[in-house]
Amino acid sequence: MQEYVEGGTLRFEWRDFPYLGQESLNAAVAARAAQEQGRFWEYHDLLYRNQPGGFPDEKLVGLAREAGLDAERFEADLASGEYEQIVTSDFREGQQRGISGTPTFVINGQVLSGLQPVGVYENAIEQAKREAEGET
Amino acid sequence: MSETNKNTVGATERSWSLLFWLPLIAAALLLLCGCAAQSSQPSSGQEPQAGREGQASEQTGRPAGVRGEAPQRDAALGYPSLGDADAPVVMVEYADFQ
Repeated sequence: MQEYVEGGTLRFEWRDFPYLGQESLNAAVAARAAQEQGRFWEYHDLLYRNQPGGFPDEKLVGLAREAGLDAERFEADLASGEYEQIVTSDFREGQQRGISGTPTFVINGQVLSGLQPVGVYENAIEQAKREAEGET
Repeated sequence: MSETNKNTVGATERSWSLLFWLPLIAAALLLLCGCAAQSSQPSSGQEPQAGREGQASEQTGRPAGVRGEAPQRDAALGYPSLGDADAPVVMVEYADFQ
């Protein structure tokens, strides 16, 4: 996917769909707090690398330090509750689109549920690109 | 009946007629104003239209590049994303960290 992004063909957007309970929601909220400090993707990668054991609050703060975040600000942002609203908004949007599990990818409107072989995404991107170019 | 009396009776009838119709006309006008005001406001059940980037981009293949108005915090933060805002293909991932 990276070559499509770097080549200007693809824009990748993240939506939270935390449907596996409270810790799932907490992790999504923490990632948005990391985004506030400009380190969403670093924190995103750390969360995926540290999935075992779930995401209790102290672990989320520890990962924030590891990502180089201002931990005090991070904790204050978590406590503010502002990011939960954003995550919930994403979740509702997904539900309204009929999404029921993760990961689900939507490529220019084409929905691909579950993890697929890379070729499936590449084909979908190429097709979407051709269609987009045909429209212009 | 004299001409004067006829005029007086006619004027009285017109006055009663006006007294009858005026309140009805006023009530109708008030109702119309009320309906117009109500139709210009969203109903309590409606959610604000955020006009978020992905919704437009997935339909058109091009990110709108403009954030919606609500919620304000979301508008400021935006979706985490990678790549050119004008890329012809937009891939949205719905995901969970668990």
